[in-house]
Amino acid sequence: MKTKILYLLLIFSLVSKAQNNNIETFREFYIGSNLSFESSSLNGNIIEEIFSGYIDNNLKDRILNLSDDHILNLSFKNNISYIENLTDNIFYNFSFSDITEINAKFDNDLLKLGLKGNYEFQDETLEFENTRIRANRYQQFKLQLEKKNKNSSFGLGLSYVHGNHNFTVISNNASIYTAPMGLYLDLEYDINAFSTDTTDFSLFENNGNGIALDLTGSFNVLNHKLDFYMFDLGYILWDNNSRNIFVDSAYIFQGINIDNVFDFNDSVLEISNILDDYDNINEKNNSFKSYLGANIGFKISKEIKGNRFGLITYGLNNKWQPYLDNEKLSFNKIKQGFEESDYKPYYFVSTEVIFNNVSLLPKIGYGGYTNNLNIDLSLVIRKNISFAIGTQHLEFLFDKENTYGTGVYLQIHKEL
Amino acid sequence: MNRLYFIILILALIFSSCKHELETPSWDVDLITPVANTNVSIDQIVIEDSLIEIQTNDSGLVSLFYQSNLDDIDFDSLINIDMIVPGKTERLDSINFDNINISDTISLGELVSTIPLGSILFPNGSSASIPYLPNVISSDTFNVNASDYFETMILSDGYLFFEITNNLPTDISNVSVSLVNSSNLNNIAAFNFPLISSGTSAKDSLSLAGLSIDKNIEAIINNVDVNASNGNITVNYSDNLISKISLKNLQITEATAFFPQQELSKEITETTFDLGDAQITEIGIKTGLVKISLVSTIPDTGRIIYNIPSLKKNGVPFSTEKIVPTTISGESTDYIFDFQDYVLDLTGKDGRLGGDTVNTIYSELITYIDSTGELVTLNQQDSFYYYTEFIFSPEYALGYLGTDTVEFGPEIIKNNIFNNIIGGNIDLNNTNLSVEIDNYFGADANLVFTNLTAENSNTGEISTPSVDEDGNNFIGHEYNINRATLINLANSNIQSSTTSIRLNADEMLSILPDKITTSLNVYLNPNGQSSTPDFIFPDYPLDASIELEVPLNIIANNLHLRDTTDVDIEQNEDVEVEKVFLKVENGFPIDCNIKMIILDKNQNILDTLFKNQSITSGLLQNNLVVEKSINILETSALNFEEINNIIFDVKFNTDDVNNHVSIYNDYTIDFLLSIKLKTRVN
Repeated sequence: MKTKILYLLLIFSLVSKAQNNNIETFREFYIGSNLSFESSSLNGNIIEEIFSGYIDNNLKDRILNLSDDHILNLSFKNNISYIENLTDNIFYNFSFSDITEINAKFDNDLLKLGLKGNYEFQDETLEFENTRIRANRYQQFKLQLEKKNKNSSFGLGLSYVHGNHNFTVISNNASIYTAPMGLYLDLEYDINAFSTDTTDFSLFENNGNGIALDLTGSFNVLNHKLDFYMFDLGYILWDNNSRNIFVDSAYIFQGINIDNVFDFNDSVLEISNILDDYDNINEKNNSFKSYLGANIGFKISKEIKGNRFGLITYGLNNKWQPYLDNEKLSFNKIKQGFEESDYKPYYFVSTEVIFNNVSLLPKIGYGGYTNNLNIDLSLVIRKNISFAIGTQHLEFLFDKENTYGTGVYLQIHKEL
Repeated sequence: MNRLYFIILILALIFSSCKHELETPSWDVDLITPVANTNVSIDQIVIEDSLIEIQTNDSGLVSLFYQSNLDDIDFDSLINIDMIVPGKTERLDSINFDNINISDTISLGELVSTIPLGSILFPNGSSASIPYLPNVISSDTFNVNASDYFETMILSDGYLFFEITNNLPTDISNVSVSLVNSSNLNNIAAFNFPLISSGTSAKDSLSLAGLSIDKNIEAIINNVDVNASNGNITVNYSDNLISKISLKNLQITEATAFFPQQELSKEITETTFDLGDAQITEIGIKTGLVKISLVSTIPDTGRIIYNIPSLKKNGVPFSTEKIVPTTISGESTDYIFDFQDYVLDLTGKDGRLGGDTVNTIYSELITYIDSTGELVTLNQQDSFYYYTEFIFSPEYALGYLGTDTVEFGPEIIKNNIFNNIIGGNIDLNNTNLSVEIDNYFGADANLVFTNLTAENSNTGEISTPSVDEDGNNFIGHEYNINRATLINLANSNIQSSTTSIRLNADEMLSILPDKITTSLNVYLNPNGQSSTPDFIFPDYPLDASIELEVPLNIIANNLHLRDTTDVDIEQNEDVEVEKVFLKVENGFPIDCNIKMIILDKNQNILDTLFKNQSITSGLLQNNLVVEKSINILETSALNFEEINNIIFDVKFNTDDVNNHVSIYNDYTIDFLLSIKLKTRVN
């Protein structure tokens, strides 16, 4: 890790040294943090109750009545970036980000099983379709170059991704039937699971490496600025010691078969014996690929007359993040990435309300991991060192029942 | 500016309102899952700590088979040999000393030289007539030097022989000779010979008993007269007069001498072992030794040769030769000979007068003294003392084992088969108790039971079998046990004889006995010696066992079993077992009511599980189970941490109290255990 940072700083230094000393220097430094939790089904009240401690049966029932399926996304990102111009119109941006993401989609039946267990569902079949869970932690070292002209700009970024940990479960079809009195469990499942080395959970353990690509462009047309972007289109290739588990079978579990009950002891009931009893688990250590969540979209900005408001911007953001690297780049693959991101197109409109050195940046959006309108509001204080603090779900504060996410972000900015 | 502060205040309020003490969510999950299943057939059942086996006959009918060996009945003491043969002393008076021969010669020339002008008158080779010459030799002394043989001798016996040989051409007369010790001039002997004709010898002897003689003896010729010749004779100076002294058959009281190597004693011994009235002719020795302990006071090197011609290994008789040093402080020198794997012939010496005998070992012990080449002083008290000890544990013995009686028992065989039955009745059918005897002795025997009782310690009931299957009164009846047959002595291949004594045990078992007491006598060779030689291998005794066969044809009427088991189950703190379900598919023709009484460490009852729940028998048709019954037992929550013991309380019933049901080996019972548990997720 230290060696890689050293190399990147060296590249950064070389780029920095190469600039023409005759041009006016522009330098900015950013440090920021962003925590976000969003769900397609869990509203603010539920979230608050969940994180207030014990989940009782009433809360369980309320959760289970929310929706037939559930999407959850938790993201925690910390980053540092430095921007400097190489020429009058060429800028570079070096950034370092530490990112932890958990993303899941599952049926209500799986939630029933998870919250209540199977006792309540004797003589019933709980079916789980399209269950997807992924947890990803990595660091990203990004170098972007941007050429700005009077009416357009074009940017290109390249990232090295230092992968720490990944856990992925994909189950297209699964079900569990619990016989009365638990006399047997009829299990059907099609599960692909991937996990990086679990022997060391150090935060910065290197279990894989990856790359990512950024492309940006903007045009000024008819007093409008049109931005297109694609951030973090890339992947991490995890090491060969990662566990790849594939199970596609039906299995009736009637407990551990004891050959000789007169030679019975506690160790017979250990979980390893259950796994031994079930020999259809295909497990191997191998490399696997996981994709980063790429943000792809555009936005249109237009100045508003008067000094009180900044630009008004409206746009569309989408995410592309397939689960499996199971086919080559094609339209199907593109479609798969959008579908498996479990992220719906996010439409937004935002503006800036300026009060001298203080601005409010309200943003109203719809979509993403939620199915509702979201109100994003941030406060920017411009001083020698500027601060920005905001939340992605301001509505969480006054209408939790109709809020499906919460989060906060903070950014510190200084011009050097 | 005020507006700015207002906005900041509003935002601060807004974000502070977001602040909430987040706690890790937790919730309870109720799970139900099968835990374990098993299929139990009757032949899987092993009754712990018992000797019960499950056996099946050709029809599949299951029997409980119990076997307990009685202690081996052996007759080892008949043939074990541990005997010390009384000691014997070999004294020095039996030492031989070689004959000593010393001679002296006087030539005619020497005699002529003693006559004045003799050599002129009688020149060598001349022819002359010899006149009578008196006193030709007078006080002539010569030394008899015996220092090559001894220094001094005090003799208890022996003879001195003196011989004069006249090789002169004329007769001699009035010969007088004296022998004296040169050291003290004591006379040893005096000899007189009146006439010794030419060409003849004269000889005389003297007993040396009580005499002391030195190595230097002076022989004094007191007088020799030469008789006149008969006419002329040829004078030959080489003609001579020879004197010879011989010491023979010397027996010493004490001597300082160069003792010759010689045999001191040769003891041929027949040692007869006391084996009662057994008459053993051959023993194969498994472990055995002979120890010879010797004490030698002789200051010269002693030596023994010990032979036991009748003790052979691979056909080679035992023989050994050992040096016996002079004793220090009277301690013996022990020689121990290992006779493992030897074969000992006990019929005595080959070609023995009176023919072969029995129980007798033939040995030879030859004692020697070795010559060291040094002067050694010995006296009559010097001796060898030795004794011999025989210790043999035989691998086998052949011959006649004699008559003997072994009283066996009382031996108590305890069993726990019925220990857990605390009530109800069980009716068993066609049970057998048999005493199985494998006789590896090559001798006939009679076996008489003096006691065989079955006892239920709990109820005090006692049952004694009265008759065997042949109708004999079991107690006191003489059961003949045939002798075994020796197939091959070399590899101990014995064909044992088998005797089986069978009884109907229904009555005995009806009291549910927990111990069986047995006493019996075995009489060896009750009819005396057989024409067929007996044999015995101690490693192959007379094996006797008691076997109990209980065919599972039963009628159970509230047969009540109770057993207590220690329980040590660690409760997983995260998991609480709330219910236990047991599915039982019963393929046995027996109904069962089961209760599990849960006790804490103070033996207080915590709960009773499966109370008033029953397992019904499988469906019977024509005394065969054709379909398993399905029974589901359910019980409430358990706290395993508190459980210290579980009492299993089970009552068995067969459907028909008048007809026995049979248990076959293809009957099985299936158990499937599932539990409802609660766990907290956090």
